[in-house]
Amino acid sequence: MDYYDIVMDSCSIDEKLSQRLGYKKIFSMGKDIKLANLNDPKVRGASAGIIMGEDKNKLLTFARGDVKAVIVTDFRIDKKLMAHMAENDIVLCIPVSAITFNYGLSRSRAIYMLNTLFTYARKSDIEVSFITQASSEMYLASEMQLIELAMLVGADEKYARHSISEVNKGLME
Amino acid sequence: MMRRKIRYILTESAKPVTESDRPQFEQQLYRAMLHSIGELSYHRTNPKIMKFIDDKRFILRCSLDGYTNALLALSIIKKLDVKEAAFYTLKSSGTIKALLKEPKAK
Repeated sequence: MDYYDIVMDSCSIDEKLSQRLGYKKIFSMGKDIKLANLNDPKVRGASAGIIMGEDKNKLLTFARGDVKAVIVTDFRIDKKLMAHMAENDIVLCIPVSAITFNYGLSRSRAIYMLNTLFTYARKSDIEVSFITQASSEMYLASEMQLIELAMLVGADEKYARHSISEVNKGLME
Repeated sequence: MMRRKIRYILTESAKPVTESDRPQFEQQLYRAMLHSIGELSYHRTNPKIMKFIDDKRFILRCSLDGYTNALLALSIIKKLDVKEAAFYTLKSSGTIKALLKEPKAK
């Protein structure tokens, strides 16, 4: 099984490191796939890429366009948005950097929120992609670690492996 | 006496560890793992650095029961004392010999 990860474009990774970490390739948001950060007021449109943001109405408006995946940055469930994602086969991206980047109580809270979001998404038949979304080398995780983090959020091992192989690859096609 | 099943994890540190810093690094890593895993579960993981392979890679031993905790702890540790740190788990196995075996070329 080949594994893939997606990181921020600020994180530069050589091929040797990505192979050591157990990935066939580590993709970069902004370079390999378009990223529209809706928290930025300047963003007006998004196409065939990933959208991320907090405002659910804005996310839903953009998700009606040509979008492959959504990152909900506050990890809160919005039923309308989730229903639209399920209908249109839009993937929910879960960045595990929310767990590795936080500390103490905020980390515990992030795990709880991600667990709720993941469970709801899977019940709604939405495919979930686990990515590190690392902004630097310090926030990278190997394939083994990414699977364990996905399992911490509530995925079983089979789904965690499917997520970081097929789902992540599918985002790049 | 029943022997606990163990697991060896080949780990890479993002920052190099010089030979003179190793004893201090070891103590700092155990402390950070204790903090991440928690006092009540640390005994189940029982981590120990068995061998440094080079200035970045080392073999960490843990009990099989605490294997998941060890992997998660290594993922979330981002500081050792005051220094920035990060760890990548590259491979795991039941024996050191198997861990150090080079993968066969396909």
